[in-house]
Amino acid sequence: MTEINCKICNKRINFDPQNPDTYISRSESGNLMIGRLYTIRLSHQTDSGSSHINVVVIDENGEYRAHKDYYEEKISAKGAPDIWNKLQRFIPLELRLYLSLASDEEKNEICRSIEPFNKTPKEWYECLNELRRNNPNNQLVTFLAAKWGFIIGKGKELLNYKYEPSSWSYPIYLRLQARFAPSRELILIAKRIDFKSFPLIIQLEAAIAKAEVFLRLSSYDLLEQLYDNCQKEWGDQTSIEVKTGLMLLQGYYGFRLYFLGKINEAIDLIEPVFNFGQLLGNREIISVVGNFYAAVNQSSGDLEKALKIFEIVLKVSVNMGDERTHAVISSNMSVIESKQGLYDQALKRQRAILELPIVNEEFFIRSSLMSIIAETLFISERYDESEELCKKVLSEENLPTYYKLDLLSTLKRIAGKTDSLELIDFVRNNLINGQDFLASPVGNIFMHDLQAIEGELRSNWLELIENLQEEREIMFKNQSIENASDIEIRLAEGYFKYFQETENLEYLNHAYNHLDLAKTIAIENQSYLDLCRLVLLKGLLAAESNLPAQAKIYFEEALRTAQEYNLSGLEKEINENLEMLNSGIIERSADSVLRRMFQRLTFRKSEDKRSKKKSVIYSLFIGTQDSAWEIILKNEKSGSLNDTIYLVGIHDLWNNIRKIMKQQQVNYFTVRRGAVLIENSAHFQLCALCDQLDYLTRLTIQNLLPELEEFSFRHIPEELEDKILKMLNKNLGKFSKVE
Amino acid sequence: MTIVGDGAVGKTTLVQAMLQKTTEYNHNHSGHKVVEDKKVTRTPFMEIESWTYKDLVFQCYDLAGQRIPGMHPLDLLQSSVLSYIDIYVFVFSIDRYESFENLNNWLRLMNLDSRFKHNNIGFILIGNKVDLERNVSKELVHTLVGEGKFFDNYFETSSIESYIGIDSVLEEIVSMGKRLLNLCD
Repeated sequence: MTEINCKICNKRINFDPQNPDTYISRSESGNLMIGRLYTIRLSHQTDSGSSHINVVVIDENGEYRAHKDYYEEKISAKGAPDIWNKLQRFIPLELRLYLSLASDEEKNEICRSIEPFNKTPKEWYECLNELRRNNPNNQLVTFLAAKWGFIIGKGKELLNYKYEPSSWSYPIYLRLQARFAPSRELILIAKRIDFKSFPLIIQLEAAIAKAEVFLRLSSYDLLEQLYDNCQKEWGDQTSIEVKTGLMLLQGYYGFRLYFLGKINEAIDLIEPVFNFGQLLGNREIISVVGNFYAAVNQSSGDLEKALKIFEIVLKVSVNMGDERTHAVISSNMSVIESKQGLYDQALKRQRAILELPIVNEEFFIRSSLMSIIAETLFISERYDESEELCKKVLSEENLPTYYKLDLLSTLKRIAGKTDSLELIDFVRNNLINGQDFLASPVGNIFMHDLQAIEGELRSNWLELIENLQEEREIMFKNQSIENASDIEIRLAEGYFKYFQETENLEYLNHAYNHLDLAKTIAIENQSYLDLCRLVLLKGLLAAESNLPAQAKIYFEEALRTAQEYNLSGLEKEINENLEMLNSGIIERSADSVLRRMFQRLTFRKSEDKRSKKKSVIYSLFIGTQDSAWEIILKNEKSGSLNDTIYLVGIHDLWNNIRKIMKQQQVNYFTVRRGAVLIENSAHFQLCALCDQLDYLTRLTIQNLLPELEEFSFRHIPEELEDKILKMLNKNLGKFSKVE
Repeated sequence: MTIVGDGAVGKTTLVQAMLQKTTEYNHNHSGHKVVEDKKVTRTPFMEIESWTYKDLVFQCYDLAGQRIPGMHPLDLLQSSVLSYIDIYVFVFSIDRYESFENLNNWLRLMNLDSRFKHNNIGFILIGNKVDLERNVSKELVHTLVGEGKFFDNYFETSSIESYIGIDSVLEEIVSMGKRLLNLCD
């Protein structure tokens, strides 16, 4: 006989591992490391009529070794505890926590109607719906059916039911309204609902519904207030039910920060929720918050991570049979792929989504997808196909304004790329009717842009300039700088053409100014390809303006950038231009090259261009490759001794790893404290620890070692130390030596 | 050294406790306080910490416990991270049997299941969160610890409650480190 103590009531329990009558079940467990063990599930009755279940581990001799689990099973007076317990084990995890709300009568009814319990997600939905039809006024039953339908993407069907404000399912209804029929009125409704008299987990459901409404309708202040209140009220509770609700709420709250441009803070809040969902296997959290998590990563430029997260969410949606999420996630993934330049892969995925039944059934999803496909075709320079698709979708009746504007915008840019005045007329004739649109900033920008393109196509450079200047002003006024680079480059072209017409040098200077502004944006976005093209463009402008010496300087600068970032195609092009410049041919051919360059740099898919803050370098380590000399430095303003110790650790690690690396794969990686950059030259090695690495800081650090290599007294430690401190002081801020 | 085990067994807190202890030690000797109180959350990928204790410099890789396939350090950096580890610290949570059972998965993942091929490596087992309810018996743990068994030594710790067992772990790591270095010489 084996004896254990019940973990709940401490009662001594005896059982015989060889006698199945003394326990509920026995299974073999253990593994190679811990050896062969057995898991025994034991039950004993209590005075209150409930059962205490202990799941214990014993060894081959029957000796107690560990407790795997223990819990209490309440038994109703009317019996049937086993079947209810079985249901709890089989019902989808996301619904399990609500079963604690069932009365004895409901338990019997649910068990009777649902058996057998081994079901697919779709079968659960069907049987819960059946249960709802038979019990239309039962709070728990209607809630379970609505909640499960919502999780597996049956939102449209759920809207066919009636939801009373006093119903537990009402929060689900609000979430559906926010997704399918958002209106400002919904905010007022969400604000008003009061579920205080309802069970706690239903109150949490209401809070989540409010959060979704506030987020989707951009009421960020209300969302913040809601989050704070919920944290205050339930934040110290540790039960898994409350924790699950609060984590989902945190996901919505975190995504709000994303809309406020606080990407890193958003990631800090959303990431733990996504991981919590994964650990628990809660598919609602994985789907909802996974989407948020991928979006913020996408925005922060980590496209690969975003794709991986989308893959996790996609897998969940496929397993659940949630076609809606499947379609939405797949099209989001295709947008990332096209941003990565994987156009064929993106189009293949988009065409596969088009085949999904839900896409054919639901006009909104289809319209959105078609608009995405048209955009992908456009950026892969398949203008004819893109134009055809845009026109086809535009011919659909009741097309939502948002998609219509997207499609017209694509057509407008095709007109610019293909010099088609006919297409400009088509766009103008199909513009959204109504003064409201034309008076709005979006409508205003659209119209100026259209007129600017028309000016360009008619070689009316003044019209192009005036409209773009207007467009730029509206954009800055509305803090929307998404297309700023595009506008700057087009303005440069406009001014340059106008300079050629008028021979007024003032306009040439304007052209250079606008190219410099575009260059700043390229640097902030760390887009070296654009940066290089822009410098080349400046050279071409100079050549075309009979300034060969200036042109040479720009070409050489562009060449250095191309070589530094392995832009071999551009490097070849720049070399050709340098040769032509030297032979004097370039003045006659630059015009067509210029046009091509301007075209290449404009009207591309606009990506998020958020301003990036300047890096802070916390600590630097500089050592020699062949002697023991080294210097460790700390930023006097922002660095701490802790940073320095951390960096020295990283430096040791790196040198250890380097010994076994066949070739150096990376010289830049991120750590919890920020980013680490490692640079090597013939005689020196440098490690820098900073918060993040922007283009300029990186360039500055990279320029330090060549300067040290050229330093005549680099063999004299005192001189070297002095030189380093001076260089840093000049370029990166005040650093002091750490002994 | 590297520290591995399931998610939420308290690895990062344990490392922070060791840092805190060695910092106090360093503080007393050098007059500097080097570690700030740190909010401990889930380790996103891998955290590298280093400390000096009793004349030895330790570098510790705290690996993420939650495994997202394809995104865990052991998937990406296995050869780089593991090939020069001297001491492996395996951690489970005393209140969670599953974390003990899963130690085998970590061993397999790191290709360490034939432990006896690795003579010059130290293996320490830590049962953390001893301040919480015990669900893994000492008898079960001791089947794995001792001469001729998988782990050289076993400690029970709490990184929250008065740093129970942390000093013993640090001492063991130091003596193991010194022993291993001699072996290497």
